[in-house]
Amino acid sequence: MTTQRPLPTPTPETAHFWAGARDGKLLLQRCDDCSGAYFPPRPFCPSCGSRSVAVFAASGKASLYSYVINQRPPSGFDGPVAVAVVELAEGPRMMTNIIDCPQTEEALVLDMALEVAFEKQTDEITLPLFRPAGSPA
Amino acid sequence: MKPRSVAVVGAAETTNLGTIPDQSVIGLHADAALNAMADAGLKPSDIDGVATAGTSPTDVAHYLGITPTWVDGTSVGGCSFMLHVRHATAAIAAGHAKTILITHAESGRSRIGAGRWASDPSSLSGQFESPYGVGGPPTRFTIPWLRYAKTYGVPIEKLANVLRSSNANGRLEPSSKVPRSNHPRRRPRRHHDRDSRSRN
Repeated sequence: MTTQRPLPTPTPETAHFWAGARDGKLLLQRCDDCSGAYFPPRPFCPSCGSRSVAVFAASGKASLYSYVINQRPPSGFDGPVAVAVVELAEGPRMMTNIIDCPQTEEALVLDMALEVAFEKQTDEITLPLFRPAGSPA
Repeated sequence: MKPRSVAVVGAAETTNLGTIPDQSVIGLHADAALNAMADAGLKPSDIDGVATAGTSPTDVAHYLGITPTWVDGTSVGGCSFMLHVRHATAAIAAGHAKTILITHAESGRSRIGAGRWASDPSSLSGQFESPYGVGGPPTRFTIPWLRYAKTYGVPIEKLANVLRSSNANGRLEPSSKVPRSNHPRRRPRRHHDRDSRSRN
């Protein structure tokens, strides 16, 4: 990569998520009251409003919910890249990229099984990306 | 609100259209506003309400010499200006203002006085969307559509109608930037077309 992707600046409400990614963990949150899991991170439950929530490590398993292939590579990408939305096994959906997979309609099949793959960007920031489940790491 | 008690009394675009490298965003707001006021036979001092998005409505008011009693800076994407019309109608009906100016300007091609497109890296989109190559609408608008197509078995060809309709609508506007080659070849519809169909 010649240029750097735009990288996140963590806030106090999201710092645990980015620290987890740095340690190779995908951290979600769950409500103590209604037990719903959610993402992105915030110190309350978006389903019931409870402030009683806990952080937990997700399995890293997901399926491909949808995507769009950008033929004009954005900053930090060498070629066409798919902006993907994956549905995590725990329920929440998140935006990401699919790696170790051609960025084509033929290869990116909706509902295909995926697993998280952490890609270090800087000493501070590691991004959770996803690859087809069972592909060699 | 009494029916027909609020009306659009003037409307206009900037004096030049297309790529305009010699005017800033606030200049484009003012240019279009002055043209709209001329269309309505009004001066800045006749305006007591201002609404816009992207640029602060107070900046637009100050720049034009308007002292507003009512402002609206609702900014929720491209539909903001339609909401401004709704809010303005309600404000006039409620007596908060009598004559409201709604402006929109971008300097989309030239980016003069327009700041940067990039989102704040600590915002939610800056943290959880931008790192994955999400930028403008083309990098995300069809994502829910693709899921919908799979879930409900809609062929992708159906999406072509969106482009075709947009082009057809654009063709109705003489200043449209729709390339001529993309214009759908469609016969202008006339009333007798419908009449003849109903007779057959």
